[in-house]
Amino acid sequence: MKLLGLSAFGRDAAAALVVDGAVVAAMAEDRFSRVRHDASFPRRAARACLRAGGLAARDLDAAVFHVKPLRQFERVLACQLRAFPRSAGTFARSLSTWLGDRLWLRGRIAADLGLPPDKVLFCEHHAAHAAAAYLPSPFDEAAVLVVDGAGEWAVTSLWHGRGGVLQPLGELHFPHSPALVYSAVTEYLGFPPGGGEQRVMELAALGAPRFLPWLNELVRWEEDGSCRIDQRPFRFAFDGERLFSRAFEQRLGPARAPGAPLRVAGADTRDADLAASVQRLVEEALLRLAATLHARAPCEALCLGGELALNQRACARLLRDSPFRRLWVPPAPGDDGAALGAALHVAAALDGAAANGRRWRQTRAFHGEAPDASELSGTPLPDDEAVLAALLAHLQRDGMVGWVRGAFEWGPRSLGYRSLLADPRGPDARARVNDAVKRRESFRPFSAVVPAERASEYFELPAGAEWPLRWMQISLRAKPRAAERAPAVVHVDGTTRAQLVHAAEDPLLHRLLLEWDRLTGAPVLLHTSLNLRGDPPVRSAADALALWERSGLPALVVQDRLLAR
Amino acid sequence: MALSDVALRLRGRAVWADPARALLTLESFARTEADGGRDIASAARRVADVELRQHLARHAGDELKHAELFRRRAEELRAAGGAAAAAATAAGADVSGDAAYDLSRGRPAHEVDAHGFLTVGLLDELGEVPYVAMLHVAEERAARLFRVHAELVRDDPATRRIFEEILRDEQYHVAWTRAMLDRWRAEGRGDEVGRALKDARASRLWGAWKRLGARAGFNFGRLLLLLLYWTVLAPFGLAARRGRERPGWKAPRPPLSQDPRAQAGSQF
Repeated sequence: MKLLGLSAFGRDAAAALVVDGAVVAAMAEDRFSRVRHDASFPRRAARACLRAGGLAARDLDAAVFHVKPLRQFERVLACQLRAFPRSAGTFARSLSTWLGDRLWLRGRIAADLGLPPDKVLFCEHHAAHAAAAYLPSPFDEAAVLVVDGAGEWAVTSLWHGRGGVLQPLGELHFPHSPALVYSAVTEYLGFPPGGGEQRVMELAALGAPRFLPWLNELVRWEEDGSCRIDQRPFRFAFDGERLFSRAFEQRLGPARAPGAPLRVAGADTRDADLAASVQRLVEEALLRLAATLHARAPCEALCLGGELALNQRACARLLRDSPFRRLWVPPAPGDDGAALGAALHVAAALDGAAANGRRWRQTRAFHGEAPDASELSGTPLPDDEAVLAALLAHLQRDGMVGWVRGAFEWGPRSLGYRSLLADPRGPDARARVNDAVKRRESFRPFSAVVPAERASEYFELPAGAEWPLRWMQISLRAKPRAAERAPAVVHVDGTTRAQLVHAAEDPLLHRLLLEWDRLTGAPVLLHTSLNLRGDPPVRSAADALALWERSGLPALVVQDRLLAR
Repeated sequence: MALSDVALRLRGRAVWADPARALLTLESFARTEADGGRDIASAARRVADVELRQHLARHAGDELKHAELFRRRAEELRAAGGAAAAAATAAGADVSGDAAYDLSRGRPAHEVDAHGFLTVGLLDELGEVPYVAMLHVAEERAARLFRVHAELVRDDPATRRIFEEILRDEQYHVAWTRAMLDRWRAEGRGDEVGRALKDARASRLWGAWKRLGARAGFNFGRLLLLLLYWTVLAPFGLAARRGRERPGWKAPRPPLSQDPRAQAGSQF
C-alpha cells in the first residue's frame, strides 16, 4: 500500500511517503520554499517524496491529511462564538481563511496531486501524532503522551500502544493546553510562536522562575490529572495571530518587540525570569500528565509526541522524575511529523501491517534528498579519506567548516548531514561561529557532537535515552571535563545538548571525531545546523552555495567538493 | 509622469506613512531579493555564454547584497523597538509589506516558490532570451519602484542610502539586460526578443489584475462576515458564552464507521 502523508496549515508543513508501512521519504516544506517553518500546502515536499519513491501521484493508494478539517472547523467556529464579542476582530479573518480555502481541502489536495477525490483520506491530528510517536519506536508496549497546540479538539491525549495497536485512553480539549501557554509566552517574549519556543527554553537558563506562582494560578490542575487554563490573559482560544491579551501585559508590562533588547540583566530580568517560569510550568505539567498516563497504562516505556516533545529540558526532566524508565521521541515530533504519523496510522488501519508484526522501526533520521554537487566548482574530493582530511584541515586552520552530504534530516535537528562543525575549545568559539554564519542571539547555546562510547567522559548520560541521545532530544548535564575542553558547547546553566554518534551508524562522522580527539585531546565538536539566521537548514547544493556566498563561512564540503576561501 | 508612476508613488506614500507596513516592506524586499539572487545564481551556473554568465553572476551577487542591506535595516528598526516594531508585530498577518518584484507572471502559486521565482529555476523553463527579457522588465520596474521609495524616505537617511546604493546597481541591471537583448537582436533574433519582452510585460499585467481581483474579493468577503457576526451570529454568540465546554478528561470519540476506509475518508 502506497500512502502519501501530508501536514499543512498549522506549523511546519511536510510530506511523507509510506510504502507497505515503511517510510521511503519524508521532507519538510520549508527546506524547499526556504521560508522557515513554512505551513503552506507542501507541494514541493510531496513531489520530492514521490520522486524519491520513483512514483507518480496516480500510483498512490491514497493521500492522507493530518487533520479532520470539518471537525477542526467545528472547533474554530465554536471557539469564535464562545469568545463573543472579544472575537469581533478575528472572526472575519479566521472564517475567510476557512471559507475560501480549508473547507474544500479534499478537492484541493486531489487537484494539487492529480488524484481522484476518493483517494484523499483524513486522520485525526492526535492519532497522527500518536502513530508517529509509537509505531516507529523500538517498543512493543509503551504508553504514549501527545501534548500539542491544536488540531481538532484534542490538545493533550493519552494512548496505550501494544503489539502495533494504539488504544486511546483519554484527551483534554482545546483551549486547555500547556503548549498553548508556552506559545503565548514565546510571543510575549518577542519570538515567533511555532518555532521560537526553542529560544524560550534556552533563555530560561538565564532566569529565575519568579513568575511561576502566577502562572500556576492560571494553569490549575484537577485531582484527575486534567488542567484548566484561565483564559483571561490569553487570546489563543479564538485568535491564532495574537496569543496573549492586554491582561497579560497589565500583569507583566509591555511585550518585548521582536529584535528589541532582551530584559535579562540588571534591574529588569523580566524576560529571562518569565522564560524560566514557563519552562518550569511545562516541565511540571508534563510530569503530572506522565503520572496520570502511567496510572492508566503502567508501562516501562514512554513515547512522546506533539510540539512540547521538542523541549529538550522537559524531556530530560521526564526521564529523570517520571515513573517511566525509557523514552522515545520521534525525530520530528511536531506538525511535520504528523504527516508521517497520518500515513502510518492509516496504513495500520487499512492493511494491519503494524498489528501483524510488520512494523517499520525508525533507526535513521535522514529521509530527504541528497544534494547534487556536480554543478559546483571547487576542489574535488575523490573519496572519504579526502573528505575527512579536508574537514580536519579546515577545522584546525579556520576553526569551522560546513558539511553537506547525503539525504537531509527529517525533523528540526541537523544531525551531521547539513551541519556546521566548529572547534569548541576557545573562549570565542561561539562568537566566531555567530560572526561568520549564524548571527544568533548571544544567549543561545550551541550543541555538541561526540562519539557514543566516549560521551560519558564529558556528559552525564541518563539511562533509557538511547534514541533521544542519538537525535539530540534531551539536554544533558556537562561534566567539568566538557567545560574545560569544550566550553563553547556548555550552556550558562551547565547543561548541553549533544548528539551521540555510533560508529556503525555514521562511520565517517565517528571517524572525524576520533581524529579530532587525536589532534586536540577531546573528541567533541561544536555542532549546529547549516543555515543563516531566519533560514531553514540548507537542502541542496544551490542552497549551500547561496549560504557560502552570503556568509563568512571559511570552508564548505558539499558531497565530494570542497569550497574554501 | 506616467499613470503607473503615480500609482507607485501613492502606494509608496501609504507604505512609509505606516511604520508597521514600512518595516514589513523592508523585510519583504529582503526576501524577494534573496530569492532573486538564488535563482539568478543558479541561472549563472547553467548558461554557456560567457558574457551572459558573467553578468548573471554579478547580478546575483548584487541581489544577495541587497537582501542583506534590507534585512539589516529591518533588523535595526526592529531592534530599536518603538512604534514601528510594535506595530509590525501587532499587525501580524493583517498588514502585508510591499514587494519589489513579482516574478510569478500570473502563474498559479504552486508553480512558484515563496516570493515568485520558479523553484526549478526560470532559466530551465523559459530559455535564455525570455529569461533575460523577464529580468529586464522586472529590473526596469524595480528601478522605478526604488527611485520612488528613495524619494519618499528623505527624513530617514539610513534607509535612503540603502535605496540609493541599490538604485545604482539596478541601473547596471537594466543596462546589461538591455545590452544583451540588443546583442541578440543584432544576431538576427529580433522576433524572439520582441516576443519575449511582450510576454514578460503581458504576464506582469495579467498577474497584477488577478491580484487586484483577489484582494478586492477578500476584503469584500471580510466585510460581509463582519456584518454577519454582529447581526445573525450575535444571539448564538451570547448563547455560546453560557455553554462553555467543561475542562477535564474526555473519552475518545467513537469511530463514525466500523469500516476503516470510510472512517479515514470522513472529514469529520
